[in-house]
Parts: sequence; structure tokens; C-alpha cells
Amino acid sequence: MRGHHDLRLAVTAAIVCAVLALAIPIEFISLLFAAPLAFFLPGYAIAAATLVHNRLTRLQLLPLSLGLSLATLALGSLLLNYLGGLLAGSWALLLVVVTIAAARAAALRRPAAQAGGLRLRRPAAATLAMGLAGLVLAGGAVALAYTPLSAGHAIGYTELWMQPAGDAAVRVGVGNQQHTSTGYELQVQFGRGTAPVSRSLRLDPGEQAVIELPAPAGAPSQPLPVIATLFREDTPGLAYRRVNGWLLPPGEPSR
Amino acid sequence: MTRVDAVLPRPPGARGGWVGPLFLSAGAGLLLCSIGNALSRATEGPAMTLYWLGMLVIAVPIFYRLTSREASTAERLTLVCLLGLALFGVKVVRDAPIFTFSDELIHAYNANQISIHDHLFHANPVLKVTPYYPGLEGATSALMKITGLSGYAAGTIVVGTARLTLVAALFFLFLQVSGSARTAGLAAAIYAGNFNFLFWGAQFSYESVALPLLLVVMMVLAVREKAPREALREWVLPLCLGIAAIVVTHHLTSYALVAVLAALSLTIWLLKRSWQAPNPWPYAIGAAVLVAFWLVVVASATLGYLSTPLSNAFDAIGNTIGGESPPRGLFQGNTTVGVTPIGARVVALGAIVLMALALPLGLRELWRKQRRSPWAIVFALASLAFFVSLLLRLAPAAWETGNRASEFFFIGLAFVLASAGIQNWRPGNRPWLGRLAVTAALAAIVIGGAISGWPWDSQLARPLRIATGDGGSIVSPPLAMAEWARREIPEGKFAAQTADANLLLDPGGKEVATGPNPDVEDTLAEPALAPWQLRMLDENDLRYVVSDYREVSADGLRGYYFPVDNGSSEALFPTSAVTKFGKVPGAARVYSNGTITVYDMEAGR
Repeated sequence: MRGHHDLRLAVTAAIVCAVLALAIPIEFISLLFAAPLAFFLPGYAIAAATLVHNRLTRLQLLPLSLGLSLATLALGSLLLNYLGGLLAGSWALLLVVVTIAAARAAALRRPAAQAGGLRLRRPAAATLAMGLAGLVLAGGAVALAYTPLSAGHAIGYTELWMQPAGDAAVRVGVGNQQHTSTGYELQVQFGRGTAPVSRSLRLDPGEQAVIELPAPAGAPSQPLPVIATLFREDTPGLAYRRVNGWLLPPGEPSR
Repeated sequence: MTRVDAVLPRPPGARGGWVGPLFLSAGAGLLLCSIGNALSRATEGPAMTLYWLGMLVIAVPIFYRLTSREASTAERLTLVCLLGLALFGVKVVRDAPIFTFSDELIHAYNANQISIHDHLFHANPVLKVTPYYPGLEGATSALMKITGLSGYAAGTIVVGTARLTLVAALFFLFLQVSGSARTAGLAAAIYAGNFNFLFWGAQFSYESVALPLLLVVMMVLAVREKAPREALREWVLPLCLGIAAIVVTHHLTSYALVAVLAALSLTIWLLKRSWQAPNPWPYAIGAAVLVAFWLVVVASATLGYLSTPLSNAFDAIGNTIGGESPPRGLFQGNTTVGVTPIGARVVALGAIVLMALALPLGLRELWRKQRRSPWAIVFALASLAFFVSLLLRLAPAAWETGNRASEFFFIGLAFVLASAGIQNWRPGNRPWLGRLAVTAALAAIVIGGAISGWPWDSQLARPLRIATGDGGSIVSPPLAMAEWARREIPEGKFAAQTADANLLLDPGGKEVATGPNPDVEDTLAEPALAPWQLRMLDENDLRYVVSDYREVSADGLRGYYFPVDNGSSEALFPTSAVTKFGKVPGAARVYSNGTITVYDMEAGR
């Protein structure tokens, strides 16, 4: 690829981006390298390889490189599906191989004197500064969108769930999705007419408690109904949530 | 071939032109939109005012600059890309950090399945055709795998890249056909006024990648048309790659591709009486064969998926014309929730009136200057078809068909409107006044398109994950249920209403049935359980039934959020509809959060 600065740059960038994107464990830093590898370099190399006599302007290369890269990703997934799977390594390898092969083809087809077209005009300092300020504002907009805000009019609630835990116990979960810290009384009754097992809980907003409670009489010999009832501390006489389930005798298949 | 960036000379000393200030204003506009959404999530006002103000701050300065004669081609391209990305940002700041559109959750499930299993074509229980068009999810999985990003982050970046591709390709397509960067910039900006640009076309869904690929193919065809004859063969590979990628990405866009190629081939033949290159008829045939192959061999389920709404649309048109059913009222979505204010309706209808008024001017200009241009003729026909597609909005079951078709026709309409030359209007020899008028019209078209394309009450974010006083956060009841299912239920299929089902797909990662086939929606909504409904649950292995008090749970757009205490009561299903499953022998009520209860129909068996 001697004499083709843009192609050599594209190949080097593809290899470096692939290695760093795979090696860096921090997602958003890895993305800085994965994005050009996935969305630009393969398309640029393919455009360079095919359009030797149709020289495109630098500006026209933008949508063509992006579009051909997207097409490479869409069709590449089909290829990888039948060549061992869509794995991180195989994706990176495919994109690097496509870029290198297309750049090599471009170098062979393109006259040596024909310069490539990746260079862009540097903007004025004021333009750059205002552009960066605009990006900072946009970043702030996205950061705000990611930030949970309090919503006083949204109605809070509490979750209660129960699942068998082996043959002779249940797991009962309580999730506080109220706006404030809330106290609860949990009562779990194994079988009819038996005294319930009680637990007191206080949960912060967003906090969950999962309690495993063994059946007092051990594993049942016949299906045993279990009922969990949740009371709120501020309304102790009023059942607030109720769930139920069954403990099945050991060995009885549950579908 | 034409060196298109030489069409307009760069003015001396115009390094960057207005790009810097317009980046700043677009960033400020996006921040305003984000604050509007934040206020809406916080259930506070005046969210809507800030949101629309932000839209105007993004769009108006860009429109005004695009009407100028001074801007260079590079600056116009930059501004068009800035507009496209900033408006994409408006969608992102509405939804981050999870998908909330019905189709997005379906495609996110597919992307996660690919990421988990390392292979394509895993079944999607809600929209069965989607795994057979894996272009979007395949591309997303590449980013997920290489970087470790979540499906949301990777998908948003893929769609954002596709959006950038779309606007840039659109600009060069129009530039190639018109030969004027000014017309191209304005036409690309007008395209942002298509009803589906702001939200529908920006969602994580297969069309959001396929449509940009279609525009790249159209741009390549337009450039190829002016290429030297000996260089025509060089376009074969880019065109074939683009066509194949569209075919494996989205069914409707692949049919639109065949239609565009066929229309262009026929138009060139009519004008030149020649099938010789650059007539693209071989690509039209090739694309049609590839589409048919994919449809029959890989994605045969698509036939049933598309034929039902299409036949319903034709029936609805016949019934509406014949007076057997009343026409659909405008500004109605699929549900009766939310009313569009009169002022917004005026803007939306006014935008259509403006476009209708400018259309004859544009057509006249094309007739005068470009009647030998095949692309101009195709665009002119598409612009007329756009107004025909508007009529479909009056027939209830044809509304969606008209809406989906309109975004393809709008490509032609945008070009015709920009060709009208209104930007050259100089009232009283004051060109700035003409430019202001065009800027105002463009703003009305983009804002009107946003109003027409998305329900008024769903323009802004709603509370989904909210902060609490101690620094923690809590999530909405359906999202909590889906997260519980992901944590606590290792296997077993669910039956749920649409919104609950979508969240069970993503982030729940569960197999789930919803809608009328099998008839889950009636089984959940009716006050009593018929024997056939129990059999249906059993035959479809639907072990877990999600019973939701909220009628809005059947709404794939509005059913994900916290209920809000705003003085009006939420529409609820009858209590018996929700509690009836608890009376089935062996069933257990395994989860409850007040509004949503999950029954395990086989707990005692």
C-alpha cells in the first residue's frame, strides 16, 4: 500500500481499533475504538476498492462509508452465523479482514499517484470552541435524561412475592417501591389453621428483602398451601398484599 | 462524474461559516428538550412549553442558515447532519436509559438473544417475523460483543449512526439531482418534517437502519447515472451490498427498494427509450429476486404478517368510501387516550396546507427545469402519492398503512418543495424577509410533522424510574414486575397484556404471549374464565399469567409508567377480570404489586 496514505491509515486504524476495543474492559472507552472499526473503516475501504475511476469527493465518502459499513455489519452477521457464531473476536476479525482485503484491492487497482481523501479542513478556533460547547450542552442533556428525578405525583407501591425453596421452605420477597422508608409485618402461614410465622421489616425506598422460611413441619406428604400476607406498619390491621403458593411432596414432579 | 462539492464555490474566509454557533444553539435546544422531559418525568410543569421551545431552538437557526446563498456545500452538509442528529437526540433524551417504544423492546429481545446464543434466528414470541430480518440486531450484537455495551446503548448508537447516514445520503441524493447545494440542504431539512422522522424513524427498529440504507442506494444510483460509461461497473459491488443489506434488514423497505428501482428504470426508458446502462433495470430484477427468495425461503411468516393489515386497510378504504363505516377522526392514535390541543392541531394541519400550497410551485419548477431528469419525475410522482397517502388516514384500519407509506413518499415531496424556489422570494427587495418566511414555514412543517406523527400525550417522557429522598430509586409497577421475573423465574412462558409483555421481553428476557393470537388479550380482559381459555393457556404452555388492573397495560406506548395522582382516575379492568385466575385449582398468586398480579397456573400441580 505504498503511496496510499489513506489506505495505510485505514488498515492501521482497523488493527489498532480491533485490538484496543477488545482489550479495554471499560465499555465506553472500548466504544471509542469499536465505533470507527464498525461504522466507518470497512465501508471506506470498500468504497476505495471499488470506485477507482469514480473518484468521490471527501464529503460524499461520508454517507457511502457509513452506509457500506452498516451493510457489512448486516451481512456480516449472516456470514458469522454460519462460521462459528457472532463472537467478539470473530466480529473484530471480520471487520479487520474486510478492511485489509478491500484496502489491498484498492491499492492494487488505484494508480500510485492518486491520493486518498481522508483529510478534512481544520475548523477555525472559534468554530471549534463553540462546537465543543454545543457538544457539552448535548452531553448535559443526555446526562440529565439518564438521571432519575423525584416525582411527587407518582404513586408508590410495595411488591410481595413467594416461590418454593426446595421441598420444605419458601422464599418470600418484599420490595419497597414507596417514596419513603416503610415498615412492614410479614406473616406466612403453612397449611390451613396453623399459626403464621411473622417477621418485621423496615425497608428503604428501592430496597428489597428476601426471606427464606422453612415449613415448621418439614417437607409435606401432600400438597401444602402457603399464604404470605403483608401488613404495613402504619395500618397494622389491614392486609396490604397477599400471595400464595404450594409446597409439593418431595419427588412429585412440578411441571 | 460530477464533482458535487464544486457546484457552489466556497466563499473566501468562510471557514466553518455558522457551524460553531449552530452547534451551540442545537446543544442548547437539546438541553431545553431534556429539561422539558425531566420536568415531565418529575410530574411537574411547564414541560411541554420547554420541549417545543427546545425543538425550535434546534431547528430554526439551522433552517435560516440553510436558506442563505452564502453557505458552502460542506457547511450545508454539516448543518443537515447536525439537524438530523440533534432531532435524534430529542428522542434519546425522552427515553434513556431504556427502550420504551413497543417495537424497540421486541427488537431488543432479539439483540439480546443473539448476544446470549451467538447465533441469529432465535424465535421472537411477540413479533414472529422480526428474527428473520436480522440486519439491525446483527449490527447491534457486533457492538454489544466487542464493547460489552448493553443492548440499549449499542442499539442507540447503531440507530444514531444510521440517522447520520440517512441525512447525509439524502443531502447528496438531492444535490446530485438538483445540482444545487442550497436546494439539497433545504430538501433534506424539509424531510425532517415527515411524520415519522422524530420518533418512529428514530426508534430501535429494523426500518431505522433499512431506510438509511435505501437512501444510500438511491444516492449511489444518482451518482452512477452521471458517471462515465466505462466506470459504471465499479458501482456493482456497492449497489449489491446495499441491496442485499436492505433485504435482510426490513421487509417493507425492501419492497420500497424494488419499487424505487422499477420506477427509475421505467422512467429512464420512457425518457431515453433505452435499457442500456445506466438504466438500473438489472438491479430492479436482482432486488426483486432477492426479496422473493428471502420472503419464501427464510421469512415466509412475513406473508401472513403483512397480508392481514393490508387486506384490512383495503376493506377499510372500501367501507369508508361506501359509507358503511364512518371516517376516522384526525389526531387519533390506536387508543382514545390523550387529546391533541386545538393549537397543535392547527399547526399540524397548517403544515400540510403549506406543503400543499408549495407543491404546485415545485412541480412547475421541475417541469420547467428538470422534466428530462428521471429522478425529478420519480420525486414528483412520489410527492403526489404522499397526498394520496394522507387520505388513507381517514379510513380507520388504513391509517397505519398510509402513515408507513408516507415516509417513503416524503423523500420526493421534500425535493419538490425545496425546488419551488420560495427561498429566492424577495418581498420589497428584502431577501431576509423571504428567508424568514421560508424558515417559519420549515419550522411549521417540522413541528407539524412531529405533532401528526406521534400522540400529543406521548411526546414527553413519563416517570419510569424515579429518585427517592435518600438517594435511592424506585421503578414503575410493570418494570418492577419484569425485573422480578428476570430475577426469580428461571423458566416458563408468560401470558400478558401488550405493555407488560414487552417489558417481559426486555428487560425481563422472558418468553411471552400477548395479543389476539393466541387470544391472550381477551382471556386477560374478560371478567370470567371460559374453559377454552384455560385450555388455550395449557396448550400454549403459558404457565405464568400477568393480570393487570390497568386498561393502559394493553397499550404498547403508554403502559410502562408509574400511575400519577393528577386528579383523574385511571381506567381499570373489572376486579373479577384480574382475580379470576386465583380461583383455578392449583393456581397460585406468586407476585403482587397492587396493580399487577402474576399467577403460576401450575404451582399446585
